[in-house]
Amino acid sequence: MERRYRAENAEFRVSLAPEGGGHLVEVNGRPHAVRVMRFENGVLDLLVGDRRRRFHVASDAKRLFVFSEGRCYRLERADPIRRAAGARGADKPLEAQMPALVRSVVVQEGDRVERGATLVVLEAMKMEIRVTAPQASVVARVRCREGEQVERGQVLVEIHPAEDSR
Amino acid sequence: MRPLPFTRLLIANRGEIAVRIIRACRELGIRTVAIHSEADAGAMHAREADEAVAVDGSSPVESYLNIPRIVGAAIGSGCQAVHPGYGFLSENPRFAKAVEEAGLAFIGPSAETMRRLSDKTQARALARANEVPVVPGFDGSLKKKDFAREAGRLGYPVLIKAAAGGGGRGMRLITSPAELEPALESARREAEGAFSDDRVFLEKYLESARHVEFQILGDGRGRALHLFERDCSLQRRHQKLVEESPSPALSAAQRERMGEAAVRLAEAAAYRNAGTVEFLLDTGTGEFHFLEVNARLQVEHPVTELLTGVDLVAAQIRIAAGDSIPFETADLRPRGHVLECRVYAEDPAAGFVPSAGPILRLVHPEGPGVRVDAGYAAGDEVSGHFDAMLAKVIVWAGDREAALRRMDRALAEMVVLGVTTNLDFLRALLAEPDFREGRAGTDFIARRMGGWAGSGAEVPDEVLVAAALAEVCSSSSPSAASGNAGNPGDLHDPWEHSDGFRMGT
Repeated sequence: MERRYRAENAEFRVSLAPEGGGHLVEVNGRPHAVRVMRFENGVLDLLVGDRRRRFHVASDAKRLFVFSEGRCYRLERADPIRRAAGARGADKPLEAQMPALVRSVVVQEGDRVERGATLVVLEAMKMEIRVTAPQASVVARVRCREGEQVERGQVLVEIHPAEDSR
Repeated sequence: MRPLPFTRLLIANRGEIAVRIIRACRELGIRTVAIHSEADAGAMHAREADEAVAVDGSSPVESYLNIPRIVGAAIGSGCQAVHPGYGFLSENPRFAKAVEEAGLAFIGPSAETMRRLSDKTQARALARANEVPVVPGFDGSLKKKDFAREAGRLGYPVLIKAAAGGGGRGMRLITSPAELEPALESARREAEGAFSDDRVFLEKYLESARHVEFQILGDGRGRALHLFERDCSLQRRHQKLVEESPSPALSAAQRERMGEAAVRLAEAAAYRNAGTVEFLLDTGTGEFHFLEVNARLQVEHPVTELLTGVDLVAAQIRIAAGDSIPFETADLRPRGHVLECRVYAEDPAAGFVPSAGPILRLVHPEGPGVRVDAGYAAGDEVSGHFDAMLAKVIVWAGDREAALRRMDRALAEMVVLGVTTNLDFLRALLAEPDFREGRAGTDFIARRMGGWAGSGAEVPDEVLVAAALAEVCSSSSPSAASGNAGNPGDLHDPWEHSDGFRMGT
């Protein structure tokens, strides 16, 4: 069984196979012998090698959250089949993270933008929030307008990652 | 204790401060009525109160500013008193007056005192008249050339501030004469829009300053006392992030002088109920300067509560009931060291952009000397309509070093899943040597932590192991995955029923 995740700009391939009373788990090829000691109410107690570790886990439709040793990690599920179909040339929607007012739309369809370029400026909670390009792209569609009140999850701009971008 | 004349109290606020007031009322045997906007119908404060009343507003925030509806709700639900919390209407003299005119007790100062002190130029004048040194400044005229001359006399950099302002709004920092005119116009416009009052004044900008404030209580009959200080020097964009007491920068003599000045000012204003006198301490010269009075309870009040053992909200309610204050400053025994950190739903590594969404898991730190004041519980939604503060973590320990260690433990033990928080950022901040040695001033975060990109980019293998195993285990046992957000089987396997991906291969 295999799972793929993305976190902190890195990709992870995790494969699991039953072994002995537990699992052999490989993370990008690195093997770990693991046993699930307890999993209740989102608290996962594992025996990793010979050390007991506790994790808090939770998820929503798109992401998995794991708390371990004083730090919280956010993982995105990377669906291998969807990725294969859309890896090159797919339009990427950029969404509003919270209800906000669109203060200004800085780009128009067809604009080439660099990584970090501001595309839309939002205002929420008395703060200015800039929606920026995650990588060098071309603006495929602008889906919002100045003065519009947007909801969380609403698509603001669709960008088309540039061919040779990383 | 004398029985109170209040049996029901309405809280004109939300979030953690509303919950705080509810707790104080429970201990005093007072029933509580919460107000909420439609968006907040399921919020923690609405659930915790004995009753909850929906208040209309053109937006979720507007509901908490709707004076006629809120006063109506208090009367309609049989309340004898109203507590305004902090923010929202807590320093709005029209609200205090409306509450008083409705025959209800307002848990705070009188409308008149509020009006006088919220006008910064009047407050400064009152300070000067009572031998309380003020930040060097100019508030004498509206003419641009007078401002230009005075700014030159004070010496750049200079701050333009709104006379009717607060919360850092209507402020502009100017570093040269060329910036003065456009900054004046811009500040005036913002002040007019935010406070319907475009009056501005100048203050010298003190570069190496610490923000030190004194908690005061006044009986409204000319007597006031202080409950020592809080050092709130760690700020980002004029918003406090970490507060502590005692201030590492104050000598006993300075503390006494500043405390006396705060009391002098409060008594000159015949201040009633709780308030805070804010000063800037110039670490270069050791001089202190009056900044402003906050005529309400502050966010960071727990710092004083843990230091002195005084329940400030209970004290507020008793003073509003007409009780005299049963102690003097000399009766208080401040002990040890207290630190408070504000936990926000934001991403410091991405320019502090706010993070919204459902809180899927929330575990508070516990143990000796740890207090958490939270306004959200697991399963609640951080909507983005309101301030993004999730909780305050306050620790007490025997001395400052122990308090720093305890705060690091508490922050490391706190689990928040579902939204991004500033927990890592707070721990990194507290680890900075300048802060640990008590040297951080109000510009520390801007100068030192500006480009903070997170505490380490690599995800350890065991986190991936845990993620994968959790998904595998929960698809066969949904109850295992349901955390305290109460969604059984929320860890679902998205591939089990789609795309022809076969299980067990």
